[in-house]
Amino acid sequence: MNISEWSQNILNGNKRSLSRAITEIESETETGKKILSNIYSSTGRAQIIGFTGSAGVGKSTLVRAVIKEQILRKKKTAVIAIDPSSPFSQGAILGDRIRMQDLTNNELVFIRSMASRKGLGGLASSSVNVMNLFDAAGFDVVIIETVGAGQDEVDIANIAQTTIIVANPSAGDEIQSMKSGLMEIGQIFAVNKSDLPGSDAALAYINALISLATNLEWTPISLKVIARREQGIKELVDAIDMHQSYLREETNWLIHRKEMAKNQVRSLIKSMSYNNLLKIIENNEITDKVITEVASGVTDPITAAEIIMGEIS
Amino acid sequence: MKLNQAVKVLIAKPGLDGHDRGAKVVARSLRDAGMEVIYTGIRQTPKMIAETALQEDVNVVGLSILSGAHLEIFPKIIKEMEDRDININEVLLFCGGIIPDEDVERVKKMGFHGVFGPGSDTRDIIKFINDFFS
Ligand SMILES: Nc1nc2c(ncn2[C@@H]2O[C@H](COP(=O)(O)OP(=O)(O)O)[C@@H](O)[C@H]2O)c(=O)[nH]1
Ligand SMILES: [Mg+2]
Repeated sequence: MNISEWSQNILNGNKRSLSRAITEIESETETGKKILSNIYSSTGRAQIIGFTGSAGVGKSTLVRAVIKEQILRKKKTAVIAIDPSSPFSQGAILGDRIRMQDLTNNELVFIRSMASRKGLGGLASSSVNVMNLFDAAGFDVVIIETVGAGQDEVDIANIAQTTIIVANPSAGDEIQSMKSGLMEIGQIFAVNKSDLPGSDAALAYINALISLATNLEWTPISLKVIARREQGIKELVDAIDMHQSYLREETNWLIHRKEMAKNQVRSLIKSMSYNNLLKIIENNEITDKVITEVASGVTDPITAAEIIMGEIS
Repeated sequence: MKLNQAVKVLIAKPGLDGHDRGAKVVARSLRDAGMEVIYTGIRQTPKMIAETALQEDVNVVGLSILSGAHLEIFPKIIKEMEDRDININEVLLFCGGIIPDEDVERVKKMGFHGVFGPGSDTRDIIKFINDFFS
């Protein structure tokens, strides 16, 4: 099968072609790149929805409930479920899928697990590319689940059109940490496990933070859900649709498309230039010399980095 | 067959038995050996297993079965995979759990190149997989 046939099969909704293309993209092959450039003009239709929050808050359980609601609404839904690779073995247990596994055979659903392997392009860039594939393949909704910690996730939140921050009632720390940055990346805040005590207090706290944040164009929506009992899910999906309609109003959409394009290209440039830089640095005599000096205390690290950067440019 | 990414493994439990300690131990040791592992949970139908293999585009499928229904279920799983255009010569199949000695040859003929009974050393499974992809 040649690459243009392969690309056409993806656009026609062939699952096997789609699935194999995702692997190509994850492995950052030339084939993957060519497929992407073939299908890119067919993207832009899907809702791209991010779910983020600490491990164990119930993201996967919530995503399952949301998929079920989307099925009722006849929406084709794809999920990119990202789990961390082990820093020791580079291996991973991709454990999100098991929570949604009962939906596997549904014709409207496609679930793909990804390890956050440290590829050349970084996690955000491979997920953007996979997301574009799903979009071009005709999915109405593409959901990305990530553990909320670190720059990767902020990058992914920037790439998603609507980001849902998932929190729990009791986790005081988690909600506290919302002050630092999460307000800016979330359009919807869902207090999951609202069957447990403390959910009203958590919601009130989030609402207070929302009312304090004055510089936001979109006022975030906050709500309580019980993912395990599939409660509050209609309201959540309605909130997502509300944000999506807001985004897709003509003027907003142009601005947003451009903002997204900027984020995507920027994150690609960031990882490309970083990797190029690393390659140059690692094959450089000056680097070795300067690092030896840092090791022996002759030069400090900042000066060393400046010397090496100066050498490259 | 060489891969240009980490080996992606599906560990699935077909059949009606509900004991998945063994499957989980295997999943964890493959993770520790640098593989990316998806575990489906118990009581998976052949369709669910094949569909998961399709969506995840895995390199390896490991089935754990204790119920004794392997001769009946395994061919169905292979058929469902083939129906989904998965070339079972490119996907490494193995199984574990309780496979009586007299069935081992038949199971191997179906395409399950590795058969790991109770008490198998997980290092042997890791070696079996790594050998295939080197
Ligand atoms: N009490 C309660 N537990 C829940 C709820 N939603 C999920 N959980 C449990 O929280 C745990 C972690 O869920 P999971 O979806 O894997 O969380 P993730 O790590 O954020 O994806 C599981 O044991 C779930 O059953 C809920 O609404 N209420
Ligand atoms: Mg999860």
